[in-house]
Amino acid sequence: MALPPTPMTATVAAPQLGPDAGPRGNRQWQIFWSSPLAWIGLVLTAFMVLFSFVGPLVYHASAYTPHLTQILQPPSAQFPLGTNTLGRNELARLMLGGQLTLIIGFIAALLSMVFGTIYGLASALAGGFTDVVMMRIIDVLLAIPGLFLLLLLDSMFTPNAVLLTAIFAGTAWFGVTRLVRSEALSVRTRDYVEAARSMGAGTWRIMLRHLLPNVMGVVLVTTTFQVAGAILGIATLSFLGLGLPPPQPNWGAELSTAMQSMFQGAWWVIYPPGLCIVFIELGVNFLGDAVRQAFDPRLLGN
Amino acid sequence: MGRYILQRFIQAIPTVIGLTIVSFMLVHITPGGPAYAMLGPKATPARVAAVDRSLGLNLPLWDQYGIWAWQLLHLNLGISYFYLQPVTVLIEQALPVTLAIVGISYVLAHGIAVVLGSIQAYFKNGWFDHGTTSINYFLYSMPGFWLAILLLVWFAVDIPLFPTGNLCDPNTVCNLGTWAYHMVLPVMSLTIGTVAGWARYMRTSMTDTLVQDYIRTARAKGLSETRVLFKHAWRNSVLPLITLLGYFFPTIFGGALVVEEIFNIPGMGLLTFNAAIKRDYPIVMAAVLIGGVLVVIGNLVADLLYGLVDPRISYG
Repeated sequence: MALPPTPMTATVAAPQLGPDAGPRGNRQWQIFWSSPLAWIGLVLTAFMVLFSFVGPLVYHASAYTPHLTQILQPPSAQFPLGTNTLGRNELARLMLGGQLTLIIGFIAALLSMVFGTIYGLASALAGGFTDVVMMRIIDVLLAIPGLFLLLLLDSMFTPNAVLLTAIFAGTAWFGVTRLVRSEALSVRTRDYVEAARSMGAGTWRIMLRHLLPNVMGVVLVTTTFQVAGAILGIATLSFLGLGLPPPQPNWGAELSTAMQSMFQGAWWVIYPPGLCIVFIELGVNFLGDAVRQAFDPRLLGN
Repeated sequence: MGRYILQRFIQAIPTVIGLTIVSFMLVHITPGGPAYAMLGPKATPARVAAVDRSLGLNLPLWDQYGIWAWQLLHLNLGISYFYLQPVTVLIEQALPVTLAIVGISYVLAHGIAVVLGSIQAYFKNGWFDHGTTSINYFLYSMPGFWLAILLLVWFAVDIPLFPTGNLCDPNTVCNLGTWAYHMVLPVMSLTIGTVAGWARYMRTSMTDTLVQDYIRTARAKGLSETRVLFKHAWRNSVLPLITLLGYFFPTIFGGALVVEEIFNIPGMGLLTFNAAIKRDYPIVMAAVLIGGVLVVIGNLVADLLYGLVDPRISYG
């Protein structure tokens, strides 16, 4: 029932390539690189990665030291983005806050990609009753509102980076599975897979050599969007006070602190953290749409 | 049609049974029980054991599940550990609030997205189309809680048009007008993000419809543009959006949790959130179960609506 998300970017038509565009894999990357979306996405993502990881190397300031005499100060030479309600340097906190967010987001998406792909392929290959049961489990997991699931798991432990990664991967993988399975099912009955099987290829060989390359497009597209999902999830959990424990900075947690000074017109604690999240989300979403234009088999015909 | 509905209901049964198992397991196999939350860090093992015994948590898991599931069949969701009230009573108070927020936002978002997407598709690649696409991209990438904070800062603090939070009880304390007044900002927060996601589906769908032969035929017959658009094109292009009703339900439910937290609205989200932190197992299990069942029902309704709008689909 789940529709494949439709690209918002039909205005940016996939470029037409000449007949000598090479093998399919190359052609797809060519489409990818010739899309303006890919470049905008890449620039935005790179900007946020540099901001979080190179920023602290250039701008030396503690993200933790509370300047008790300078609480909620507007931007100045000493504090380019001002201070928050605890008198901490906002810019330094935003830079540091990005690091774990990005790492957890990327690793969680990768883990969920690997597990979701294996599960989907296994279900498609197994077929029959096993397939039905495996997909029923996915139905159940998909029915639970994602944030509820995150909230429950997260509230039962004292979160640390590894645990958060595991929780995000653990609540995201079933999104990939259905797509991988349906893709694999359509490939499974093709002649060359039959040929491989008749030549005595084992289940694992068929899975890895013949099915996997065909589902990679779908997997790549979903994984990109899952990075965006995980980053948003971390920010949301941190906002709710369930992220990494303070004083560990996080974009979402900064916004939660900012709410305490809502009535004081402190724009510098309300806009910058939100913009950080929007920039990385925009970047990754743009990349995702560019990847989809290039790799989604359903769009290839258009 | 009747047979199809029955068939879909029967298909949903294993999913619902699965949901009861998942919601039960989620709270029971994780470390840290309600006893610790009640007694604090200095609890002695003996007192923890006593609390566990009184709550029936010392029984084998299978028995606990059996008891819970049996009570569930009698629509008895147990008694909250902390509120010391039946969970059904707590949910009867909270669920309508959340359903109201989600429902109103759903309908609004759907309506706005259909109109926006249609205009975009009609004037494809014009300034309106490009402008809306860009704005939608931005809104779509915006975390819901930031949008809610911004609306709060702009329309409740800087320009004090609306209340910053809380929600009066529509039945006793205040009338429908005040209630709606309190709902404006929360509903806006939830609607705007949803519209951004949906308008693009509508745009794609309408674009696909407008190049169909029957649209050309309708135009060739000399029908007015408005008639072609509203009578001929809309009906078909709205179809994919109906499927999305079910698809986006879990997301909007999650969004409601954040909005309820920010505006301090006593709905399901806030109830679940507080219960999860306090390890109030009966509430948490009920909330996960109800959330899941609502999603299953949402999908079912979307499927049936689909058939209602598109007579080509028969449920023989």
